[in-house]
Amino acid sequence: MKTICRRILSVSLAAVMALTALSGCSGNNSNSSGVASSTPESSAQSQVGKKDELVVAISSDVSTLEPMVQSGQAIRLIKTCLYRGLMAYQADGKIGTEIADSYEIGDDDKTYTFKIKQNAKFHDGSDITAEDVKFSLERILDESVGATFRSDFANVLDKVEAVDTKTVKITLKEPCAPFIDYLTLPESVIVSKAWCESHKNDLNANPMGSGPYTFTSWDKGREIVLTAFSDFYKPGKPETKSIRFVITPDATTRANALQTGDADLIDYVAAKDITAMEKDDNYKVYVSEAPFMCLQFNVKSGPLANPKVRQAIAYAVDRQGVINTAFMGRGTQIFGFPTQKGENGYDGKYDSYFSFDQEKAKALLKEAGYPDGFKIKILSSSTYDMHKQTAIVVQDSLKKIGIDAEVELPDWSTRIERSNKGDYEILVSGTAGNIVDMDWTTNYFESGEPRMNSSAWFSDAEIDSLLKEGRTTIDAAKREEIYDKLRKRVLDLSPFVFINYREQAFASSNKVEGFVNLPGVVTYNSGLTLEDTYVTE
Amino acid sequence: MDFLKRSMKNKKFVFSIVVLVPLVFVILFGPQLAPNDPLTMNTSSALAPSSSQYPLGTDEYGRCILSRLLVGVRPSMTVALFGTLGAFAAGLLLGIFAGYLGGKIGGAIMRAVDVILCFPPILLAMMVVGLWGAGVRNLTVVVAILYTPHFTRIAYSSTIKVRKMEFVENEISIGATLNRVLFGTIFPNIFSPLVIQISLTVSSAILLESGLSFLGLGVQPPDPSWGQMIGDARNFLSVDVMYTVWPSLFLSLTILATNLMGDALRDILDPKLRDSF
Repeated sequence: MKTICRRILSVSLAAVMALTALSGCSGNNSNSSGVASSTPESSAQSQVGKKDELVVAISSDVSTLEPMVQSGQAIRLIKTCLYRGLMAYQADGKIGTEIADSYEIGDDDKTYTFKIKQNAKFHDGSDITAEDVKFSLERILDESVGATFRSDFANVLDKVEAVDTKTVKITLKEPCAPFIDYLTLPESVIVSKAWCESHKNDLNANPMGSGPYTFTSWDKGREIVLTAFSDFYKPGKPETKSIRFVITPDATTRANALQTGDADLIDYVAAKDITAMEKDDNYKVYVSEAPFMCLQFNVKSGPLANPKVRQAIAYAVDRQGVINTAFMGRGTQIFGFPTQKGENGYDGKYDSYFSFDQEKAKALLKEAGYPDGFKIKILSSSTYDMHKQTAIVVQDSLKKIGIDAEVELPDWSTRIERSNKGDYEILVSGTAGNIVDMDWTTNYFESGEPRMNSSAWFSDAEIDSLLKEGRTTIDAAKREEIYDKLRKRVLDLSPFVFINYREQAFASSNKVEGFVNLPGVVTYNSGLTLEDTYVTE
Repeated sequence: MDFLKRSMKNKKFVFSIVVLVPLVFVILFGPQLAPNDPLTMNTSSALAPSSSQYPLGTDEYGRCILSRLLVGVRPSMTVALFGTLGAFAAGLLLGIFAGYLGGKIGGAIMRAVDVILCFPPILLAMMVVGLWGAGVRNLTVVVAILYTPHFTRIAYSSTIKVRKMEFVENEISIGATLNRVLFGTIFPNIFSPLVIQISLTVSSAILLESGLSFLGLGVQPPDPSWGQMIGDARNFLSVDVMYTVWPSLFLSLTILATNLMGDALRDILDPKLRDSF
């Protein structure tokens, strides 16, 4: 009997261990005994009562450090420590100047003249000049760089001129209301012309900017260490001598790292952990509600080409079900358009455009000529639970109105590749506008080739002209009207089905001070406040 | 009679029977036994504790865990049993031919089979699933391929031993057909090690299927499988421990029982141990 008992124990242990090993919880390799090599020359900000190091556990590995390529929200935390642009959102959620000291807009609404801060320096010690600004904006347009917002800038930028060493004049092709918003993007940063020219324009291998931290080391797949820049243009900043970003893709491992003290700050806190940490005085939780979950459709052919079918799906999706399942009940349902009230004068007019009404959904399907439903595939990903869970709830909702959906769950990179090519029927997506201004909708609804954030092959002349009008009109009241029409038209045609807002959360130990999760969409620029962040001893 | 008597004296055998008989019953009648529809969501009672409606509570979608466990056994077992039978058939054929023919042909067969052993099983499985997609049918094929070498090797070495025996040479000398020699004479004499291997393979196949489902490469949602349930439940360990415990417990017990069955069969079928019982 003894042998059997031992056998029972060992086999069940082996089974459990084999499965846990598969989960890829590679554990947190962080080594808190001061491995980070804080270089002595930059210890200018050594202050009493503050720890010398801040450890941030981030959710995603670093594919590239090229500043003009958006390589993930987690990586933006690192990039905003290294690089700064002319303008940026500040801790109070308003736009403020960074490298720019001040700016003026010409009477024609097309010329912007920026003065550069006298004390703004790059990490190599050289002054930031108008030539660097000119070079940087032109670098965004350079196809070989592959800048994420290349087309946004290419559409509006006419020319950039260096008036004198510290003055730069930007001329636009036509007035562009959200231009300053685009300059606040963490990818619209100023880089050194001389450095790029002497380093083959490869900033991934040679990161050098003007942010509060300088690049120290990069242990690929494990961690990136940054050290305070003593000549940063904001005196007294940053507050901490060095920051270590530890790559910790598993959400549970990340939460554990915070609990054991291996990390001071973590990003992408899972909903279940938010609830638990909010109740615990040992942690601070920073929550911002901005990104939204939605469905994108390939409208090229088949049932999804019919707006009625897409509307039927908009009525059918159990939004509270998605919130309960994927976000542990935390989030807000969207039955209208994902605009926060106040954004370009939005008054909540369309907030209940749709409702959860499966009878109406069935009626619409019948009208569209599919009384018995149809078969369809939903593309999601097994990498992120919220994407997978959303897909499964949507699958269940569709089944109830007779649509037989199959869920495909490839890994994230396959999912991205397929969404960029438009290789899907229904796509589950979690996204947010890139800028606060309503012009973010251009990327989503403008016609053109399939891209990550558009419904593949969707095109509508009215929407295209509204988008253009909204962008080139400066008068705020007129823009309100334009975007009002746009929302109505988008909801009528339903190229997207909006499901819910979700929370974007950071968490830290209660000893961390200064970090702010910026409100709304700007949550993704929160890395800016790392310059104010420190750990008390 | 003697066989049965010796079996009942074997504690491992009795234990595995106690587990496996109800399991077979569940495999056959799971959907009828389930108290709820395993696919019906009730998201307002997600991760609920056990109640009269949901005896083992609900998962994150508000689906009945017990019902999903009862239904989720099927894909694992289908893959494990049919995959093992496939491996058994292929391995037996390859091994018996290689062993009987010997020489270069036999060597070539065995080296070809050895190639499969070079790959870590889970990686090969992931590659196949990546190429042809997930699902029960593909997984069955993967299991069959993966475990063929084990059967081939056993069949091969046993055949070599047996074919030198006088009764086999006698058979050949009276001009029996190849078919008769291989399957009429050699096969019954190499059967018992293969049977034991079947039982051991079934348990590793269950584990492999669960591992792949755990990684999201096995049975596709919303259909349940044990491995997939453990994978999903893992995220809620801090919130609802029992959600992870139930499928893990069922899985461990099943693997344990099939393993012990293999051990027991080895003891029972081994003539040398006959007297010790």
